[in-house]
Amino acid sequence: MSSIQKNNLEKLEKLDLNQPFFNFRGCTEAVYPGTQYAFRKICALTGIKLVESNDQTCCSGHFLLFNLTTSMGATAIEQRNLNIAKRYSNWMITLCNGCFSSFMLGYDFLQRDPELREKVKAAMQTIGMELVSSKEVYILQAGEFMYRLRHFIKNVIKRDLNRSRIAVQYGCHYLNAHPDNIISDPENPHFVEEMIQILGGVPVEYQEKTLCCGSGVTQRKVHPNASLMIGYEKMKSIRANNPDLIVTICTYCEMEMDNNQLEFAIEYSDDFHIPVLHLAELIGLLIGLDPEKELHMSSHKTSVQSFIDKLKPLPKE
Amino acid sequence: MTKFKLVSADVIKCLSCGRCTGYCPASRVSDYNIRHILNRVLDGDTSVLTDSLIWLCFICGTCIVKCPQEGLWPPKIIQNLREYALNKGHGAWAVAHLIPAVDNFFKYGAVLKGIFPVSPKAIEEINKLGELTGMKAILEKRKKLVEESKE
Repeated sequence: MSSIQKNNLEKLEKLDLNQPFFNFRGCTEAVYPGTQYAFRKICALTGIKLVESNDQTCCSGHFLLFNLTTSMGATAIEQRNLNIAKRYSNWMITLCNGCFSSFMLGYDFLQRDPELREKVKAAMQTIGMELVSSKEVYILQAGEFMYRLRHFIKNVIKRDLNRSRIAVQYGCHYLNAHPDNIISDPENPHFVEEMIQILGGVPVEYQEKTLCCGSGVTQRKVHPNASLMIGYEKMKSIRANNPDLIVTICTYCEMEMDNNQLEFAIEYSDDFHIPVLHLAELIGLLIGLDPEKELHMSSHKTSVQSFIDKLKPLPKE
Repeated sequence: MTKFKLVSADVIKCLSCGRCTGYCPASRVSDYNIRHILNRVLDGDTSVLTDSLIWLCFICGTCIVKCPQEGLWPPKIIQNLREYALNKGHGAWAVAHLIPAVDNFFKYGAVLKGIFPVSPKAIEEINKLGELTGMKAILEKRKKLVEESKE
């Protein structure tokens, strides 16, 4: 871990939790509604004040990465959302690496390109807004935030992981795109594994931990074979270590790794049946949320039931 | 290099060491080779613009972490190449699938209708920004390219 990442971790550990945090909503919550629901419940139970606004829009990250907008257009959309967040908080939390990376990229464009900066500034002024800097609104991946809450979470769980073996997927747009803005070594991340241990599970290491899930933003549509082959390489590496569950901090990776297992069965006649959950959903199960009514576990293509059955209720005090 | 003005000047930092390619997920499963692509850019080889290989980058950023050169972002160079290619009329097939999502974004403030509530004011503001930053003009240009490619 570099000194920058160590500093980020220290900053996170010192983060004042008695302030409001802006919850940025993303498109993938339509696929797994339990993720957002669980995250709100986790925050409520641990005394965190989350703020949301109907004035936010999607992040527009997809469009930039597949050249349907310019750097300037994407930066302006990010800046508008940051202006909304700034009304409530200096911290914006994202459950998806796509949103996380898009905001970071917007900040980076402003810093690198003075001409773009002036044009975006002028555009923002027409809607009565100003440029927001990364020092005014800090972008925090929800996985990191839940790590910050780990000891509080430990105190409110009703079930523990019962020594379940869990493989972790961090995701490229968290690890690689902006390594100076994360709390771990992008080539050997470990904080989610630490959380799993605290919550009674056994983290499973695997060779391809930092390999892409196969999504490539929307490469499933553009190059389906290459996309599936990358996802397959990753899943084989995970299976070789016999996990009960894959947990991810990115809703986009979650979608890819969950859906891909159906494709592997069709394309390669290879059945995996390894459930995939977002870290928020996993903690949601542990704090006792209803798997179906609250967490919508049936929205997962790969059944999660085998894993839910393994969880052990903690003795009541 | 004059032929590639739109490609980031960062490309000249490339040492051609090949670490990017060695760790690239797309290179493991296809003929995509970011090192070769960067070399072609440095050589001023314009055929790279019509090469479908430039669309195989997964924008995972592994190359950013592995690259020994500070500030060299191969995915950004690939995106600039794609931009250049699209402006020259190539690559509509690779972006067509996302056009409905951008349309939805300007209509609903989200890539799908009703994912979360978005205020009318927010939609009005993103449309204004879309006009001012050229985002909407690009969208119309891409739509036209996709239509022409179907013919």
